[in-house]
Amino acid sequence: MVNWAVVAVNAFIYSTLIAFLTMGFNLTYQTARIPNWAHGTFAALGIFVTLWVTRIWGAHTYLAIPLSFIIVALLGVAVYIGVIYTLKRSGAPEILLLISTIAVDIILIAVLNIQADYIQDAFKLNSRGFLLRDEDIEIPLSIPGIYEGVLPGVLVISTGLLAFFTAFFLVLLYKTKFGMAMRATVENPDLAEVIGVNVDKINLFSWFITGGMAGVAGALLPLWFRSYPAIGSLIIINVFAASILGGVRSLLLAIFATYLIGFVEIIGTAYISTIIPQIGGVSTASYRPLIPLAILLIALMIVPEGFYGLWERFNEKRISAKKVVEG
Amino acid sequence: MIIDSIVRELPSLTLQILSDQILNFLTNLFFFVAIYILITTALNIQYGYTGIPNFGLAFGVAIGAYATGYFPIRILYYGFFEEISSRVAERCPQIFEDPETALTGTCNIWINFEMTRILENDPVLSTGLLIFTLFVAVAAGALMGLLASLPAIRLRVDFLMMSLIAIAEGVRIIGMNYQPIAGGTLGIQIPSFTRWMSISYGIDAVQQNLLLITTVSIVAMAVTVYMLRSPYGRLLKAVRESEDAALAVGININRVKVEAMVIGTALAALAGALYSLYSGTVLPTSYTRYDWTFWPWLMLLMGGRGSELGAVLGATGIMALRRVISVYKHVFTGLIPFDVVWLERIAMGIAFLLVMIYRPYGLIPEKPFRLKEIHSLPAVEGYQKVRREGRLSRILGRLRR
Repeated sequence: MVNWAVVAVNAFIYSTLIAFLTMGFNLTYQTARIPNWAHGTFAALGIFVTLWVTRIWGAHTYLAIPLSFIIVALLGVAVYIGVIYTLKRSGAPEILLLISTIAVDIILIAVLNIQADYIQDAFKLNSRGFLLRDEDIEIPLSIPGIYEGVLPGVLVISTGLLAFFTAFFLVLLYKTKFGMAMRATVENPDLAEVIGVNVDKINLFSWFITGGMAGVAGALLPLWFRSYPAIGSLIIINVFAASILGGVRSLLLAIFATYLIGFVEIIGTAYISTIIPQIGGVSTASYRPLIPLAILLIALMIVPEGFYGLWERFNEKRISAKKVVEG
Repeated sequence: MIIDSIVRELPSLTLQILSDQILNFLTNLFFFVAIYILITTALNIQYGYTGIPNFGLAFGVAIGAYATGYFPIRILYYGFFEEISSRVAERCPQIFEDPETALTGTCNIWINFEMTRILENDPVLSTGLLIFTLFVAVAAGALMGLLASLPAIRLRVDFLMMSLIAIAEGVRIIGMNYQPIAGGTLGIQIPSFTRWMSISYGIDAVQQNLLLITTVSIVAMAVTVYMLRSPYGRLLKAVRESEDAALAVGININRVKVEAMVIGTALAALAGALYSLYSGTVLPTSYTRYDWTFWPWLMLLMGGRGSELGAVLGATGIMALRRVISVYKHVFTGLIPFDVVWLERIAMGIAFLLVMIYRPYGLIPEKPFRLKEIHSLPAVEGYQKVRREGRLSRILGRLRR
């Protein structure tokens, strides 16, 4: 029988980790105007930071989080300066910038695979499909009458960090001058530049911080899920779907969409598997990635502007209705 | 050490290839070049001419292959079911209980053997089925192009690209897992439709493939190039250059984009069908985005988007390079502690970036469109003269500074 509590915990941790990526993806999408296809593979780099820290250096698991943040953030900066900025300066159209992130993804996946081969060769460790659940700490929790037992550390840490980053961004964007400059860049980069905003600095910062967040998500991923070098190409579909369903212009609604898709995907797969165990000769769970894909396509057909667009439209109607009443 | 062993190995390897494999290598190369020219041209219609960034090109190829692995085999199987089942009954008793699973599962190889036997004695049936196969592949590709353009063709370029990537991923996942289509991860074998030639005329298998692929790809390319050089090609380019301007002169831009998707995907599907006829199998796991999306993209960007010659030369050059590397690949294995395929991928990614930074219009850039009647008008000539002089004076000014 399916243990629905375990499925729900899986869905929650998965969605929380993807939410880090969705937030970062939306931020760079807005400031640099590029959907970063390599964003999932940024997280895949974090996965290997955890593997190195725990299994090869034998250090504490959570040391991987700050380390991965720094490494992947620097990678984000390097990609921005080395590829995006160079291409932008040479006047490349938007579409070539898009393709360049795919090229970066191809290179990164290859490098990760070479490194995975090296780990397998030199340390005799499994580097494709490894799971580090036993490296995680367990936090005892007892709510009398409801729950007695332990919580996986990754659940608490990831939720806490996601809340921290969300709060950080809300304060940064709406309470500081730098955040105002950032929002101005999102609104119109050319105009922002005219009034003295250093758009390159804003972009550099957003690639740094979003890279770092991808690193954090990647570092936490192997503590609960089986990880392999090409996992980024699987994750990025969820990120796309959540970003479009939530609306590329919002952070909070994108996080909400991430949770929605994560729960529908994982609980839906588990539920359908109990009814139809096999489709076309293989287990139903093999078709799991089709769920975010289907959500992505349906969202594009029905609400291409996402929940955020709906919210904006609703607000406009409310304001205009108010005006009619007042006027 | 690495260089040493390469130098030591190179002469003997070269001799070996020269002596007994050069013909094999060249024909192999020819097949791949022909197939990739079709795919790159398909992309050229979509991206080069119309500006649709189809990063799901692989789904067209896969659909063509799936159609090849599904329809003609089913016709042959159920048309001659009694004959086939009586012959394979000993080895595959389950054929009577569940003929569908027998066809795609473990009995596939025996059933395929019997189908080949039926086909090789019947030239009319073989040729009919071959033409039917190509037709069905093109039709399936066209339908898929239409379906793929439904969700996002009217949206912004980045959304369109995401939706096409998603569709390609979906087609790959379904094809790889759902066994009734093409045998799942194990794939399905296709009987040879040209084997009767060797029975009646003594033409061997390589020559048959050569004949088939040359004929089909030349016809397909001739039709495509004729279409692209006609006013229709200019219509596509008008949409690419400025959607607003195209809309202003009364072009239905969404319809043009859908048509480009349909035509391009049909052409890619034809290439997929040819590839599976050539290799004799449909293996769903082999339709990866690296082989059938990213390489054609690199070929087109390197050759020059929007120019037919650029697409052809890009496909030829890169394919030749890849085949040569794959022949010499085993020299490297053992010398480096990882799979050579990753080096190839890194080279591919770097080539993408270099092309985009240094040659954004490719090696053979698209020629600007000229209409004789308009360009010989005195006013236009005068305007061009002024422009030329303007450019000249600008260059001179820069030199003086």
